[in-house]
Amino acid sequence: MLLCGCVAQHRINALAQSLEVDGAESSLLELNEIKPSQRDRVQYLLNRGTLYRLNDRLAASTQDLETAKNIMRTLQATSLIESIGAVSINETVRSYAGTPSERVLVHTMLAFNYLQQGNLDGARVEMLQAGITMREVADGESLRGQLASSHYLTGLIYELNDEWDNAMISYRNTAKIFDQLNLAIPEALQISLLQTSYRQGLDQEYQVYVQRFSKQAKPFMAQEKELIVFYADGVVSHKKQHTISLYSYKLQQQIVFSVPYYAAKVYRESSFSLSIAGQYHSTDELESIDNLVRKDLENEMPGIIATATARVLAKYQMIEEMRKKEGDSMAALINLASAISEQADLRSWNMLPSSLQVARIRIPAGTDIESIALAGQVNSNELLNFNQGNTLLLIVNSIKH
Amino acid sequence: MTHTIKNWFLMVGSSILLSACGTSVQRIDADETVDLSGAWNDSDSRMVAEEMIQDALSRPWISQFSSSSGRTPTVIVGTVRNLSHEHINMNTFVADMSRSLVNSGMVDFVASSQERSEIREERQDQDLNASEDTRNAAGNELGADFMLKGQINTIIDVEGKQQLRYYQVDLTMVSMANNRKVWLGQKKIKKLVKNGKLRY
Repeated sequence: MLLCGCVAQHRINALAQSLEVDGAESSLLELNEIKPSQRDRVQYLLNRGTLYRLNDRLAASTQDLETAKNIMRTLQATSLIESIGAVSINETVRSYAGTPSERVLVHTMLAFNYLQQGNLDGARVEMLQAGITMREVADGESLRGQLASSHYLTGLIYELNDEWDNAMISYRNTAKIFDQLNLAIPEALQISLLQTSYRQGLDQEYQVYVQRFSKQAKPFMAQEKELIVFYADGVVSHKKQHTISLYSYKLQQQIVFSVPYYAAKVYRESSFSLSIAGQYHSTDELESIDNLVRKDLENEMPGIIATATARVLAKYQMIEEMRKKEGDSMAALINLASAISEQADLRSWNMLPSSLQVARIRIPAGTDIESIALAGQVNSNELLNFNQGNTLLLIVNSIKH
Repeated sequence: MTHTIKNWFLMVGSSILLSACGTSVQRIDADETVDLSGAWNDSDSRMVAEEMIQDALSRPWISQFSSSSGRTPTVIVGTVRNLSHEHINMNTFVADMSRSLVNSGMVDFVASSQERSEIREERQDQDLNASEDTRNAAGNELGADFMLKGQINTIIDVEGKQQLRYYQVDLTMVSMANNRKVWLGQKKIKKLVKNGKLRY
């Protein structure tokens, strides 16, 4: 049973790795052939929901992601049986419940689905839930589970609902995360902060942004529209296994210790460009999901190492007990079984994009919306209309169908 | 085999097998209140709709309208927005309100704009295909005097495994003649949800 799970995990990792080349449709066909165990169901649903999304099957995607979200919520309680299993066998005995970032990102992906289905209220619900999840996973001053992209999308959805005061708070929260990470504020966020503070008459705050970004809010001219582009680029890294295996002559035991790790990042950020009325615009990074998942693992590592150490001791004691009672050959057999069962937990939502990017672009009056030229081959939705057609939304993925 | 090994296998076996559990189905009364997750459920929808419509029908706007116009008011249900933290099926909530309104017999109730489109299509079809004595002519629709609009809002406070969920449903009856709000209804629900720290 455990080995089947391991094989399935390697297949899912291989699928994620080849997603950019194979495309979403072929990956979905292959993923559908994998039958996940109950404890891997969340990971499976998250990945399948993502592939459905990339294939424009939004209803199926929403169903999978909603189910995964609900299961993740119930799995936040600790299972004693699974905890004992993690100490006696390996970490994969635990049901996969998602990392703090994944628990927030599921709301973001669902909000994109609802937006693409023209359901602004549904998207709003998701981002409100994302806010609650961020509060649940928050850990003091650390940025554990605090996502700039989530705050930004929440701000935008408030804006589309004409809830400007709430939008301002969300944009401030987004900027706070960028500042805490010492990252440059992307242009779209600069525009959001300037426009919203100006609109709300927050003069002092507006002046701070004017000084900081060296630009001013531009009131909309008659017939002028705005295009907001969200671009999901690449595929996030997946975990690999690091195993230390050594034979102790003194203990007469093969000691095996496995932990997950992320290999050096291979993703090279590339932005999405498009031409509007003869001018080229490109997206800026809003969230490096690749960095988020690495940070999540880094935060989990002390717990993983503590459990792995306890597991080594438990297995050692059991083998020693066996040696005393049943002799060397039975002890060797159990030692072999315990070595084989030692596996790192490599599960993750590994079909997420590597980077989420954004752009806010003014469309001059008289521009033919249909003529907006998309640069290169992309997987995007139809232009979505909000605010009586004055705000347009384009959601683009680098992964082809 | 020693006790230690037996215990180990017992532990391993139970870790893998006990996490699975069977499905059971029990039929219960449709009006019975069952709170599972603490989220908005069918009981909330039904109780809020019934109580609020009851309140709306007991207020003086109906008698005032009837005495001035000499007939019962005609009501239409407009948009009820979900501004809460949950995906609430607004269709069941609107259906619950519509049922309470119609069954009261105190107001006339007309079809919503979506329903009307379908009925108009059917009427057009009748114009072409139905016999003259069974045909329903266009232009005889009953216009609404009042529109019922509303929204559901929530405030959620979270601390550890506990959540305080506060729902506020606001409904407004607006006169179609002059936009006057003739009735404002409000219903509040508060739920304390404690999530378990342990599971099987």
